[in-house]
Amino acid sequence: MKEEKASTRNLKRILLVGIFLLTNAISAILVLRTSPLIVSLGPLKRLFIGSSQIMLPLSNFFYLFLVIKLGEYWSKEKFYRSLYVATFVTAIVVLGISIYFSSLEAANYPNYVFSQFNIYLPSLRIYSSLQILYISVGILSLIYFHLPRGGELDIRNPSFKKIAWYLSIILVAVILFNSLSDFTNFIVNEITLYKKYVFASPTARNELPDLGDYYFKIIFIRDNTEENAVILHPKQSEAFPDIGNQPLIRYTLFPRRLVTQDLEEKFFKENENIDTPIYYILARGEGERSDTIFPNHSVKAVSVTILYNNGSSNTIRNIDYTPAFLKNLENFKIGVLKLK
Amino acid sequence: MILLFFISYLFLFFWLKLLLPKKTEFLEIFSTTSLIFLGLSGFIPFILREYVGIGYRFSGYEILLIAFLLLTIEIFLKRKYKFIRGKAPLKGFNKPKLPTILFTILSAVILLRGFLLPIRGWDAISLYDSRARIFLSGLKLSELKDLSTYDDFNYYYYFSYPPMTSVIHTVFYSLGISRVMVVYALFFCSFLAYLYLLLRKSRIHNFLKVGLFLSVLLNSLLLGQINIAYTNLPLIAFQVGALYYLLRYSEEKSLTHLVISSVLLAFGNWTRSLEPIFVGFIFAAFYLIISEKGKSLARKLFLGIGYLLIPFVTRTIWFNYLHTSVGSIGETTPGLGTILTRILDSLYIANLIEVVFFIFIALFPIMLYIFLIIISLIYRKLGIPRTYSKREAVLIIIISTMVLLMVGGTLYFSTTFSWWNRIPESFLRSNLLLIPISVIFLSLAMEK
Repeated sequence: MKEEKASTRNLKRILLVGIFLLTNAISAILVLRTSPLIVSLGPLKRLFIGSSQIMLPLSNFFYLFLVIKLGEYWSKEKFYRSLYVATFVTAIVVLGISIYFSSLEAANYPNYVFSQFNIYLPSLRIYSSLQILYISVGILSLIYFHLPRGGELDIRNPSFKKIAWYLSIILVAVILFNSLSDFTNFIVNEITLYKKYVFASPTARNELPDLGDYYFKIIFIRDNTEENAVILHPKQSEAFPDIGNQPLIRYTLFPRRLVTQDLEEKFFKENENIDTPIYYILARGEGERSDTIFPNHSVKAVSVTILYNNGSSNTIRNIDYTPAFLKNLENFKIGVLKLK
Repeated sequence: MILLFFISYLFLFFWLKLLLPKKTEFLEIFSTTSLIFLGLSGFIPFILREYVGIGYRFSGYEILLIAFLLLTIEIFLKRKYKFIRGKAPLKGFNKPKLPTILFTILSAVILLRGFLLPIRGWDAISLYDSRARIFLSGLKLSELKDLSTYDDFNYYYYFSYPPMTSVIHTVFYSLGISRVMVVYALFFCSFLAYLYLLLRKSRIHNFLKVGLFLSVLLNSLLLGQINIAYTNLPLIAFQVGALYYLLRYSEEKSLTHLVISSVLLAFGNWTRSLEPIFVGFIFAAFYLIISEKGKSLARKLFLGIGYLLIPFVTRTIWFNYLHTSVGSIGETTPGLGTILTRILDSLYIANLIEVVFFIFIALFPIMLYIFLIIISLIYRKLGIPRTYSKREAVLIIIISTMVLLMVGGTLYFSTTFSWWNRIPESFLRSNLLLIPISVIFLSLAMEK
């Protein structure tokens, strides 16, 4: 009987230590997912990270029970007290690391910590924020199971409110700390916005501040096409995320009719006798997709008007357009082709 | 034309000043006037344009007429002549205290800033403001599907959200106000004002009050919403307004408060229809109405059905409109049978783990606020012998419903759309209401 009890006790200990180690290991793997050690695991890296992501919520759920149980077992054995203290020390260390790297990130530039230290900050923030919950619940558990009834700190005593009050203050302080770190970014963005938009000269002002030079491209297309025109544009894709997005370009081009690349044939079939001007947007794919070109077939054009990166433009009349023409253009930003 | 804007706003302000109890504060009337003004601007002109054929250039007059009628009814039918006899309603306000003055200055800065900003946010440009500009040109919403005849990617895009913010933009443009970002500043100020009023009245330590208020004000997720013309902030403002009046109703049992809460909820449904969070408010209102003592069953039924019907009016109009204009736009608004079948299909371990993980990761940026709720619940369960107050119960019902919808909705999406786990940001934005709710709940749970 005694042996059974000892084995149960050992099993309980192993289980609690297992939860403690496993949960922290999972969180650490996710924080250090691009560290040389994890990367050196090769194909096993995906397995480690994938299984950690799946197990993270479940393990943290058990961790919550761990801190509650450790609070309850505090007076039982030194082992439980040691593990209880270990959870607190871990929490404080993780919080300290999180605060340090968050302030580094705020003081430098977005993604600074990731690029310099291979530390994935969102996961570190998850890790550290959960520690606040564990500290709070751990303290509550200890108070609930061990402090004498009727005393100042009795959970049923009105004075207990003080404890809860302090816990709330700690939590609110952490929230404020997090918010203030983000608030620094907010202020930086705010200053950039005012410089770029509100206090900029009308010619340099981008009326759509979040979309880079898209505004200048779409204004060029608008200014070089009639309001009753039909405009064929590239299909929505990674190569053309903005100029291929019909609702987005309609914002500026309305009331012009818009036709996406994939429905070009259908449009011409259904509108054989159309007498309104028809244009193609001339565009090259963005970034690595710069080989993608629209239109990707030959077209007889009345004119081709091109905007260059330096802001200058020119018009070529009566041209037989081929994709090679666009491929070889230097400093090309955007263009419009009027169909013959 | 811009004068119409101010006159309508003032009429609504005076109407609410007369309608609400005498000691109602300036900030409350300011917030409620703003929300009702914006709500009416986003609803009435659309109905008149789509069903009666009155163009948006008359929108200013429509709002003015409604504001005038409401004020007239209040003065003459309810015989509140003091207003006319020269006893100006503004005299009824208490002398503002320092925090109120500071709050007013903060609101003024936010509003001024709104006037300076251009339209921002991808969906704002391609959807919300785009619809507004097209409405202004004379087209109806139902005619917008013809614009997408040659778009194989976004055929029903213009119908993916109710038209509240688009119509507000149209009305502002038609009144000659081009800087519509001020609308979002107004929504933000109204929402903050309700929060400020709730926290100020709360019987918790001042230090905690300030901390809680700042933890909402400085939250980058909410603060960021004043920079983009999305629908999340307007919905939160309407819902926090609805919550404020529901909490007022739980204390004062005034029919006016219940009706305002219900109307604000209806405006919320006219802003976003995908997330049925309003159901939690209806359950909470039912709880309050049923638990009221001394009221007849008929009266309770009348109040309950009334509170239920008003938010459903806007929701029903929108879904009927969708049905008659474009038919079905997909499986985001399924019937109850389909939902239950899909949820049952989704209940296998691998999917459950994936769903829980998705919710956990998506909500992580607001996890600390969720901790506030957990700490409040543990504290209330263990620390205070008294039973839950009605105000606490209201919040618990709303939070529980949100959690159920969150889990149920994600389970449904997980077996319906292949892209369900690629929209954590959108999922988070849909649950930002948890931020103010957690703070309000903590302030109630910690009350002396």
